[in-house]
Amino acid sequence: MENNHKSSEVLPDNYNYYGTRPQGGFQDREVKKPPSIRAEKARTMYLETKSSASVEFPYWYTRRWEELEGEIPIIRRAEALKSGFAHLTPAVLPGELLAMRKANYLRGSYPMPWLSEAFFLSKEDDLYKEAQKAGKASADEATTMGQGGGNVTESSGNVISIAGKFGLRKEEMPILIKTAKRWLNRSVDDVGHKYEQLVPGYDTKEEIMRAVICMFDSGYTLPQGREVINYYYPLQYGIEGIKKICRENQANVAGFPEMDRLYFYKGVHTMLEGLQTWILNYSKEAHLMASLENDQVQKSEYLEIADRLERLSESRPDTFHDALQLVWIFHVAVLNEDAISGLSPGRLGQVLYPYWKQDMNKGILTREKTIELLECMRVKFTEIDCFASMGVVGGVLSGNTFNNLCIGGLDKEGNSAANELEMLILESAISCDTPQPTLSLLFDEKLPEEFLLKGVECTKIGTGYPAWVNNRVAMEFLLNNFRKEGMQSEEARAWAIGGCLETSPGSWMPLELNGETYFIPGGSAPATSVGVHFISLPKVLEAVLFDGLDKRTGRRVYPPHGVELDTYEKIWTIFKHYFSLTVEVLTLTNNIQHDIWGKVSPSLINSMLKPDCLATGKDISHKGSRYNRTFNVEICGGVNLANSLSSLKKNVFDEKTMTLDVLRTAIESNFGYLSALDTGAYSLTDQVKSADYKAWLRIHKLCLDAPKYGNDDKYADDIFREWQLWFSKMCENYKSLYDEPLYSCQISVSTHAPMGAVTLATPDGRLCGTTFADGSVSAYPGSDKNGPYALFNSATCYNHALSQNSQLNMKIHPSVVMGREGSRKFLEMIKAYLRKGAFHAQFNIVDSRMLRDAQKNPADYRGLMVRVAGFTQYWVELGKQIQDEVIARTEYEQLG
Amino acid sequence: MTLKTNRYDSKGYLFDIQGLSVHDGPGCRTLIFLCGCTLNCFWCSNPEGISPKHSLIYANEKCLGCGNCVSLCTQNALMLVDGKLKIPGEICHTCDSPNCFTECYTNALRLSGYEISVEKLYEIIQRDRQFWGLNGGVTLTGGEPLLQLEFAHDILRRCHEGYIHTAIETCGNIPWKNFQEVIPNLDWIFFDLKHMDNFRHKEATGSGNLLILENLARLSKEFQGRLIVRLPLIPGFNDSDENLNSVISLLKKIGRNEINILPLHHLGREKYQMLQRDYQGNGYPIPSNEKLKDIQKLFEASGVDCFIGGETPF
Repeated sequence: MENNHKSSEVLPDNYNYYGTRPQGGFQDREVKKPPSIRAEKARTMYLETKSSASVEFPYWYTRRWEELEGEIPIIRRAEALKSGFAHLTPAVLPGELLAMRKANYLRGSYPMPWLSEAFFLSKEDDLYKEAQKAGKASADEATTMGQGGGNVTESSGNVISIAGKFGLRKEEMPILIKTAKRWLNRSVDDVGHKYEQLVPGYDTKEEIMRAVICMFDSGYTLPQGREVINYYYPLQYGIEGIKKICRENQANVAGFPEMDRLYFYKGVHTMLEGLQTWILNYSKEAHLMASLENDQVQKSEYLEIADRLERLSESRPDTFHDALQLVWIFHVAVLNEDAISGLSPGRLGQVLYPYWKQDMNKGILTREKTIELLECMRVKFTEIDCFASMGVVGGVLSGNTFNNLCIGGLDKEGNSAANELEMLILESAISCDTPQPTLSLLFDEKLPEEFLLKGVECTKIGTGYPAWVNNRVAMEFLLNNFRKEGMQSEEARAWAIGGCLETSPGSWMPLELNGETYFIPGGSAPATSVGVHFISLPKVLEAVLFDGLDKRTGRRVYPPHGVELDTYEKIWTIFKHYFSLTVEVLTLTNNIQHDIWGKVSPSLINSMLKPDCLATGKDISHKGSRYNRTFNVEICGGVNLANSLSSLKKNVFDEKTMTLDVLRTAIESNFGYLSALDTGAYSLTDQVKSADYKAWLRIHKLCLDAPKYGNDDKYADDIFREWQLWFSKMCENYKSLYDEPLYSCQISVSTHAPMGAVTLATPDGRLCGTTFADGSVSAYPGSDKNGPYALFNSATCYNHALSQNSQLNMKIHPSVVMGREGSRKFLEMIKAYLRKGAFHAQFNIVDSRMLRDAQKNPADYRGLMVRVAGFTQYWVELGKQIQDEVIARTEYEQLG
Repeated sequence: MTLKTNRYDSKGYLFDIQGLSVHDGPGCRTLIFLCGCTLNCFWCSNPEGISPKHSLIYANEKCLGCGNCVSLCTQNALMLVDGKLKIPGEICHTCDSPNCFTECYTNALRLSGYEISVEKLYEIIQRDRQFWGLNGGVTLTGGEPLLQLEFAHDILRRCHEGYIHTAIETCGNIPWKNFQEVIPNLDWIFFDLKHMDNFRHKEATGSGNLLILENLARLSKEFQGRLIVRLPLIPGFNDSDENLNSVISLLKKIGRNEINILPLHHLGREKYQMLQRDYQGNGYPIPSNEKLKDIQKLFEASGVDCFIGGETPF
């Protein structure tokens, strides 16, 4: 920045109370610092690598599992995991400061047929047809994966493409199929399916899944995740220390009632032995690499890795580098246990701060070295792939794994928890902008201004992180929900975001270092987002208007209501009825799936980490965690629902500009447009007219002109609020597997695209097949015409603490936030929105013209990242539906 | 004229309200665009705001030629020629009952400019106020905001009573009494200066600069808030050293030592098409960064703080 200002001048006499002295002169566009050479190399290597699957782990896992026919499930599971880990081929790469990865490839992962095997057999086996009949494949069909980047979209040479994303060596395919077949009728999916059919109304559930009113079963697809990991036990005790705890407890409980505790301790011990072999195999590999290396610097780095891993295979860490390595080891270990999306490191900067401060005081670490390490950590987190079915990986996650790192918030005593290490975490996220770990800033008025402005600086580079989330709103939600399990405000402060935007309970654990005790935060609950996953509200409304039918396929989903819809209240009542029916049947079936998961394939690694499983001897499926009221109902398309109800109320009932029959016909005729499913354009602005579109012009305009959410229009906002209040309350009528009431969750992730794709036109004027509004309080693209402040006011028309989250995504043109002044004003805007009681906001600071160009020329934009519904992802790895939607999202642009 | 009433029952015409404005005064602000202007600058980026009440905006490419607007026209003024609408601006912009656009299903024909009461406008301001954060406020712009004097006065006074920071952006080409009426309720003035030469000024804006310069000199003495001179920089029109040096002399003379340069942009070009007017700014290039830095140095060398566009720190 060039500073032309002469500071010696005195203030002009006409400055009034708002006029501060001008600082700084004409400013160039902000220039971003590059990452360290080491991190840049690692990132380049990552970007040139394709998602690679292998079968080592599932093969050895399955083999050991079969050997132990007749054993107790948790012991079979422990032994199978041990065998899987012990047989993973280590892969140490040059330049790495942090070693170890999921599988034997960079960007490697593997299928987990013990959860669900049907998907992997789909090409070879008639099972696929069976699966289709059960309604499971519909979500896969409605999803398009991103076509570029690291996705293996097509088979080529000896590499076979799985789900359009993962590449598998041809010779491994028969092993995969053979291994997968072993799980037929034994996987969590298959066993769960057998029992969920016993739920009354199960047929309705199948129809709900087939119509894609619900996106997927949470039980077997992603049984874990959307939670915050806890690194406390390995840091405090080391692996040998935890094994010792297991042995001691084993001796205490053997022969006493609640014998499951014995098997749990035994299982954890066994599993840890597997992890030790895995770590030592990497140590050996590092030694081997060192022996082959001529470059002295690289050689010594390999040897350092070898020594570090050997130490960590037994002992607790002594330094920042060791602690970070151990954190990484356990993060990967948990990810290798189940198909997991959204395992968040949580408040890592606060967990590691004692080590960092100690090393800085000793003079064995510098800020530069810290940033380099943190940058390398970013690349490692980005490397994580999640192998699940395409409906899940593409449709829900857009390939994202949601390793959400939180900064800020309050400490145990209620003071600002932001620290110097978190400033460096922000620095490294600016210099090394990778999608993972994405950042969330837990905003509180007590946080220092400089820290917040550093957060703004990071938001401004256009990566979309950090997301800004409201500490106080989260605490209110947590205390409402977890008070019964003993949570008080002190522990409510230990929360973090688990996954994309799930408020997750935490706890403070006493870490001892150099004779001092530090209370570090960490997750203290299992997955905080399991239960009823993604109900498409506009699709439920469609069924209301068409007497319980899925109009796209003509199939009956709900029992006919047979009511003549001659008042608005009747529509709203039947909507509530159908929605309740949906939640009821899905709660019951999902409870069974989760019960089966806990019985046949319980978590050992994650359970061991979560307070207080190790103390109680119970795993996370048996309420071993401190907090267990974590089942929820997730919805999608809430804004389109409110807009549609508003249009129905206004046009059909209040002003009677059209009859309901006319509106129904208009919906079936897609307001005179061709279907997006034929044209491939999913955003409202790119729709193609049919020959008779003129006949529908008036009706369509009336629907589009009806009051819309996001404009500070009381008419629409009242409808939105009524829905919100009813929804958050009705969730409590349903009980989780652990006999606790459910709570509401409102993140769309990427489901608004595939769910929109199977939904007819809606009364708000949205066309057939087009994507719904994203998030929970983002306006429908193009419908918010009164600017951001009107949107903020609409968004805060109800108490956000009623739900686990709310979500607002905004695209802002770089010109609005240019320069130092822009940063300050941007922060003021964010603060003002959160002060109004909003839970979350995140920003895409990009020019939509650039995004259009990126769509045309993906090769030129390999590194471009955008925010989509709760996370950051490379543009080229997004499906086209989401790309279209991001482009159409309202851009707030102000120019000089 | 006496405007010292405690009731705020005046109404006025706006053509836009923008929240989250960051370039027109301290903090995040709400920008209120008032209709009507006494100048007609060829580079104007808000040509729809020149007319005192309404402008009809017509997007040629969206028009289906259905003729709904023609049959709804109460003045018998609208015409379809070859399936496209012809808008006689002199009739339409002063039309008292425009409803021709109401049955336009493709939104090809829209009306810019609407009437609003002070009370309703203040409600919107209060809503926005929740989100300004530190140092926010209201900026009246346009058009020339002080042309609708009673309305501008009432809204500024209402804001002032509510402890809201108030600013205007004025072209200066209005009677002194208009300033006199509003300055007790004003914290901040952006005062536009287009050219120092009376003849060149008249050529480019339709009006000479004598009144403008007189008002500026008087404001410098009588206005207690912050007064910032803004120079829209139009290369080839007002960027000569001669003109800039006389701007500097003027600033010295009236005791001002800061200026805000607004570089020409052509973002308003499409609007001219939609108003069925010709855009005369095409031949003028957008100033380069180097050029702007040179100009900045020129001002700084004379002891005048010079800030470019949205970079002005407040």
